[in-house]
Amino acid sequence: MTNSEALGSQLWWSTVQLIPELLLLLLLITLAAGVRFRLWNQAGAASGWLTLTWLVVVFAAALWRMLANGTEAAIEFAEGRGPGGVAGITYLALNAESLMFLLIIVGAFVVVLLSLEEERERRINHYLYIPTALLGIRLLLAPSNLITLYVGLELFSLAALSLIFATLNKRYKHLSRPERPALRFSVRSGVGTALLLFGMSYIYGLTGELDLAAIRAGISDIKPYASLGYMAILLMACGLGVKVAALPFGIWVSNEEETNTSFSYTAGAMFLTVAGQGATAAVLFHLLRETAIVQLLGLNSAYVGLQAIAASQMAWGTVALLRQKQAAHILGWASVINSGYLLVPVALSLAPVHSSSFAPLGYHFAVYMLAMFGATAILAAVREATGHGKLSGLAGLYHRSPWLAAAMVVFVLSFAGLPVTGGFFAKVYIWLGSAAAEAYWLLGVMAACTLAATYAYFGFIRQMFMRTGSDERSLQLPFAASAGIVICAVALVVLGLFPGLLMK
Amino acid sequence: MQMYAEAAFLIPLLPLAAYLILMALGRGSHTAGVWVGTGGAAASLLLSLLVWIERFRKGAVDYNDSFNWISIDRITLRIGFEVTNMSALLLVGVSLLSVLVHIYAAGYMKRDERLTVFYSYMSLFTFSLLALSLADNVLAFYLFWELASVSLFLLFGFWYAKSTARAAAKRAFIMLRLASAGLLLATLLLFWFMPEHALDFAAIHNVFEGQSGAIAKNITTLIASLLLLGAVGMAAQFPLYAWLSNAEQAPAPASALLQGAGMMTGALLLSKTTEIFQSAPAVTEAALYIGVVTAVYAAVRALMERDIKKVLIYSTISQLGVVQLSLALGAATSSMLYVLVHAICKTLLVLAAGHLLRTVGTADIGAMGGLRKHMPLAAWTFLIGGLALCGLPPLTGFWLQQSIWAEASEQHILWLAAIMLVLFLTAAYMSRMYFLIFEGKPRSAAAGIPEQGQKPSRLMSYSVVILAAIVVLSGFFQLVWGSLPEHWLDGDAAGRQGSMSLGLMLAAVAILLGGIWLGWLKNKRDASALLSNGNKLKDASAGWVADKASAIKRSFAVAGAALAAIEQAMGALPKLAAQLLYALGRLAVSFSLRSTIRGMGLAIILGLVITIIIMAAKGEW
Amino acid sequence: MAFLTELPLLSLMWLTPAAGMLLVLLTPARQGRVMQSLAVLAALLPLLFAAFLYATFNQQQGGGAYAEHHHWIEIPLPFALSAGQAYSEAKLSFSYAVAVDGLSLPLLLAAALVTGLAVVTAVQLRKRRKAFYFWLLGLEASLIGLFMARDVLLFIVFIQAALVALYFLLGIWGNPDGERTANRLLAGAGLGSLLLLAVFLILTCTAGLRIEKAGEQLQTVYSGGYGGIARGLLAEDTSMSQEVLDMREAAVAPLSEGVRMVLFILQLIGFGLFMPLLPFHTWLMRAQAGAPTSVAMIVSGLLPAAGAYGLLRYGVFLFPEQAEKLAPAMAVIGIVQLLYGALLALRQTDMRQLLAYASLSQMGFIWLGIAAFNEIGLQGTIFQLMASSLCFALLWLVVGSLQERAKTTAISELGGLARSLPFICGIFMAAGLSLIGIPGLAGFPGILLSLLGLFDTLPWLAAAAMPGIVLTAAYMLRCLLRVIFGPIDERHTAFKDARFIEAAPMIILLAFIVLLGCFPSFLTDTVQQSITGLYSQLLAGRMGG
Repeated sequence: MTNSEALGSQLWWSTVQLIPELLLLLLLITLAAGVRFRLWNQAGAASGWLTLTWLVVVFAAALWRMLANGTEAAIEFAEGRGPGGVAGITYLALNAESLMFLLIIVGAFVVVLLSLEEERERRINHYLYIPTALLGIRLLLAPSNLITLYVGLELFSLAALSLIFATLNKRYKHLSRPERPALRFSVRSGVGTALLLFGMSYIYGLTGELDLAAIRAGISDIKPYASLGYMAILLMACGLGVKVAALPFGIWVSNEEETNTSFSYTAGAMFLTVAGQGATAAVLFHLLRETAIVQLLGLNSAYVGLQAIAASQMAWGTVALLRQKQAAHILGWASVINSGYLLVPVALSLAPVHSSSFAPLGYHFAVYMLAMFGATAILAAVREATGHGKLSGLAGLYHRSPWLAAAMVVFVLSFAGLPVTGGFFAKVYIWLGSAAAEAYWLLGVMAACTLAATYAYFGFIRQMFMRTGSDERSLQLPFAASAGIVICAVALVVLGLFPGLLMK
Repeated sequence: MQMYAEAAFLIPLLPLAAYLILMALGRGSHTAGVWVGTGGAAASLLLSLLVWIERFRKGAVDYNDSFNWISIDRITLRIGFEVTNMSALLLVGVSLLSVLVHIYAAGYMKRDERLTVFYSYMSLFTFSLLALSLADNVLAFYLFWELASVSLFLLFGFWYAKSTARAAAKRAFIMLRLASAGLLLATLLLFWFMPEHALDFAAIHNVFEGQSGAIAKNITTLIASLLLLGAVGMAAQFPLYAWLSNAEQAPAPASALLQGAGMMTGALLLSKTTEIFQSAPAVTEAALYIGVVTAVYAAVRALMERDIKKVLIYSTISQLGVVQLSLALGAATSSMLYVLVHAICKTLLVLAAGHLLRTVGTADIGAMGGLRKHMPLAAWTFLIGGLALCGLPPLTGFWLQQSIWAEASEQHILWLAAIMLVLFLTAAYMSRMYFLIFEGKPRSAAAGIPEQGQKPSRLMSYSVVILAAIVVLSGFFQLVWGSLPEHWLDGDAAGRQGSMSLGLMLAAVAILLGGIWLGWLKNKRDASALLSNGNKLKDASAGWVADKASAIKRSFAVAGAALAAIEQAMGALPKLAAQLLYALGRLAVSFSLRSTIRGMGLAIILGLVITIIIMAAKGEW
Repeated sequence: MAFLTELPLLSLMWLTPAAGMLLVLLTPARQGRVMQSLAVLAALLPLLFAAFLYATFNQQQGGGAYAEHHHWIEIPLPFALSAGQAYSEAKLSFSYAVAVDGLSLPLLLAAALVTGLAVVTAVQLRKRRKAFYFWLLGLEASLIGLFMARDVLLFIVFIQAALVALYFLLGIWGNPDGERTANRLLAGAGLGSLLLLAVFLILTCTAGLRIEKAGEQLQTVYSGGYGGIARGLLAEDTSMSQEVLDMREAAVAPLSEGVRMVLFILQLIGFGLFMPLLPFHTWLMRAQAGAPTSVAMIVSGLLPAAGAYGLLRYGVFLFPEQAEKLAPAMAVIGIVQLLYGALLALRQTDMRQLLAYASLSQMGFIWLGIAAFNEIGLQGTIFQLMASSLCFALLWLVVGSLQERAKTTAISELGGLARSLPFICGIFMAAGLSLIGIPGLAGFPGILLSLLGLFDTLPWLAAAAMPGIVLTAAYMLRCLLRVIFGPIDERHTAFKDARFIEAAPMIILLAFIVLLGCFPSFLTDTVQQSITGLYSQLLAGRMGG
């Protein structure tokens, strides 16, 4: 092949790789245009259905790409030209990252489905955040160099910011300016970015490289400065943590604990939190595995450090969960616990002998996402019906709408990690990882947290089955939302019975 | 030809069949109940008579057969039966007494609507007694004794409406349970220490006979003491006699069968395992002392009692004391015969007492007097029974007594003196009771005109008369064949009992007459005392037993309260943990809410510092 | 009946109640009668299968014909072993393996019988019957599955499924403050199952590793199969070639002595929470006292059986040396528990509490049987498990029907019921006597064998059990006599005796109890098949290996 053809084919080849991303960009532009030029009225569901169909197309493209890349021809073709990727965006071959991306697209699809009829009266939902978040996460999943990582993260935060502005800020006019969630969120994400960049600068200072592969090559000769390298990792980990944690804190946990209970969490916010946590864990995993900084510098205490962070996050979330009376707060703290769970495979994967791969992280993420979305949808419906976000809204649900109660039971069991639901195998898989890595103390902490958290999660069941509520009206749910819930519940049960499916 | 011996296992099964049929009948027809119950006992009597006769044929050898109950690879637990001269005689004795009691009960319990239930319990009791006399190993013996104690428990509590019957049943069952726990422990010990886990009496006989030392000395003493505990419980000896004392709650036929045939099996255990006792002298010593103490104490109590049933019960206890004494002395066969005779006489006396109870309406001797004129039959049967019990010369009781005395005189003069004292007391309380009831002036209205009391049914009088005839006949049976029964039982035993010295016989007659005279004197004083104020003869030692029982109950209550406190503490543990978690939760939530930027920055710096310290400690810094 | 042998009998046994759950769910609540008969049918089928299994068990060799094995979870693990070994990848495999042998078959029969009868007695329940049948069938399916699971993960799935079903049953239908009882259940049984899950996963990673020849290259497999773990723990698998062996050494350090002891103790506590081990028994006491009749039947009879069975199969058989070292401790716990339960039972004023503490004290004999550590002790344990589950099921049936009539289970308020309820009181008396251990009823052989076995190894401790036997008689009699004998309260005279639907289960259970009491060989021969020389192999394996 002559040079130009090679260049041409490479150009063709790279564009083919990036079709899903380009489609998402296109979606973003159309939506922005829609909002700017009032192509459709704000309240209309048109934007929702448009996004929905568009996401299906994107999913198909990504799936085709994953399969295409998987074929031998493509692999040897890609190897032939060295690390594929244009401007730091590696191509998603047949590996876990692309699986993760597909999962997130499915998540986005379900979220849009659930929020189609949400808040009909305050029609402010314009789905701008969906494409931006997806693009951001896409970059985060498999960055080939630090800059891409940074760009992805900022894109994701932008999406979150836009969501907050659109949905939550209006409700909080009565709060003083600094108290408004938007400002609190942006300040916190700012701190996160600062820490992240500070860590990156250390790495850049040490190795003079930004590309991960190059860093890996150059890392071995900075043996004497191992400690600085370790400092860089910790800083970057904290930066990512703060960035991701900013969102849940910003949205849920307002200062006036008891007074205003009408905190509205939308499916969108939930999506961003869950996807964000998943992406962070994935990027940390990717970062540490690619640069193999820890193995090379022999900093084995790094494992203990990360495991400690994961364990403390879980313990903190469980203990805080026990006192919650508000449904929203329970979900908030549950997300904190589950993000701790997601961190565990990351921390373990560093352990020398452990054979675990990305699989447990991916599997747990899928299960966590499904359960969270389903639960949010139901609780949102309850909040709609009763006007207050308290748990007692669920009382007596078993005879008001039995099938909804059954779905909620599946979600609760999945959170608690009890059999027949996906949550069980996710827990078993992660516990297996920590058992193989002989991190027995972590196993103990996880067992204790699961026990206490199960008691708290079963609060839902106590309300639904063992208490009789005041109003007897059965809960109406828009068709799309109930469809979404059914999808989540059935998927969870199927994952519970045959976990192998996802693994293939 | 052992045709009947092989079929011997049918003997206990017949009453068991009767029990099952009666249970199925429930509270239904009365007559059917009576016929089935009595039929079962009569059939087993017939079969045991056949077996007994077959034993007389020459060349009759002991027959033994068993099936394995539980088999675990090398070890098998077997249950079986053995037919020897002794067991054949016992079979006849038990089944004869049970038939007569069944007939008596038909009359005595006629109006009780739960008659069939009563008969079912009686046939269960007969089944367990027959099976006990046939049992060939310690485990089988334990099994059937437990069944006997269950049927006793049911019989004691038959008139369940009375709370005293309920308490009696409970106390009896728990005490018997204690005794059988001792027996169970002995069985376990024997199981593990006997060569190839043999439990049957024959094996025990050979192993312990020659004191071959196959089993260590202390183990034998332990086994012997446990067996003694079991026997003491079963034969209602000194420490554990309280349960028999509330046999009065049971209906008269039941207490007759219990005191007669039931107590026979109590002594059976000792007689079957005499070899173990012989090889543990310390335990034999203890058995002797227990026997003496029980005999004397019970005899004195009998002398003081006012209730006719109580007097008879204490006389049973004291006679059993004598039997245990003689068994411990080594006169196994004569003591078993003595028990058989005692069983027949005691059943006669208790049935006669039941007879009296039915007519006079009360069991209190104080309220009776001068009944001989109105109830000659009861008076005569009572007299025959009493004299046979005390061992009047022509009757068999006397000859067996002499052989026991001969045995005692060889051992140690103290035992002989003790037995003589007991005889003296027995004669005393027997005659006192006789004179108080049948002689002198009637002391209460009821005793005066017994006619209006319901006429005792013919059935009751038939069985009492038959019993009295048997007692008298057995006396001449002894005279005509001399000491044939001992030879037959012992097989080859040389005339050890032959040397009954004339002197002892004369002493026995003298003691008998002295006892009767004392009884007459006591009756005189009691009669006059009773006329003056009714209840002088209070039961002295009832208080002692009662407070012993309540002491045990109190200790259990205290232990229970202490444990309940511990239980409370244990229950509180999870609550405590929950409180701790909640407190932590409050802290965590409040901290994360207030966390401003400054707080976050601080936390991160703190985290970094800690990590650095760890790194330095691990030398990676 | 020949066609039955072809069917996958074992899976069917727990699938029929599961199918029953769905059927109950789908039938509309209006047709109460249809739903009820469906539920009863689905509940009684496993009993039929179990009986068939039991009958044909002796001909087969150790029930091998009925074992089933299907792959459930096969996950390739990119085995990035640092040393870069020759083989390409590792596999994590959990299989759906069910099998039955002498140890589990009798308990399976008992489980099928008790749960079947529990569903039959549930007919009298009025409150939310549909959900009750749903969860009760769920409990039955998981308990039956539990006794046949041969894969550690499957075992945990069944235990936790039972936990969930019990949570609902106790929470919704528990009468005094069901919710608190359910929360205690969650704490107690939840902790137990999580402990077991942790221990089993550690076992899968260490002992469950085996090297297989897949095609030409070697493949390391983390498997949860019971056989694999047993091989890994007990005797080094000499069949593997030397090269494979050193790879295995590289992959995982063999479990050291200390770790094995810790694992065994964790299992002891984990299973102890189910078969009440003394300090962890409070939740089970309240669960039994608070549960509705049919649930109490199952909880007091089968949960301890499941715990003891699990401890035997996964604890004692996998860690024989540790078990032997801890045997005296277990015996002491048994004695203490026996006396503790008996003394507390002596002072209870409510029948339900009394039965709860009675089950705590009877489990003392189980600990003694296990501590005996020989064949007789094992036979005694299994017999006692079977006997106590039947006796307690019968006792709870009686207490349930008494409560239905007299509206109270306080012993002081009931008296002299024999007059108005002769049948029920007769059954009550028989069940009580069987619990006390009267020969001719099921209680006696169990106690006899356990003590016989224990006497061989620890005679003095066996002797210490004697006061327990007398105390059992004391507290049981106190309750029996107080309720059955004595003067009758006029309020109670109007009671009607047991209807057929109540009498039938009672008679069936009593028949089984008498059968076991008179012919214990009915049970001991089956158990005998699979444990002949088991202990000697275990210990010999240790001495030899």
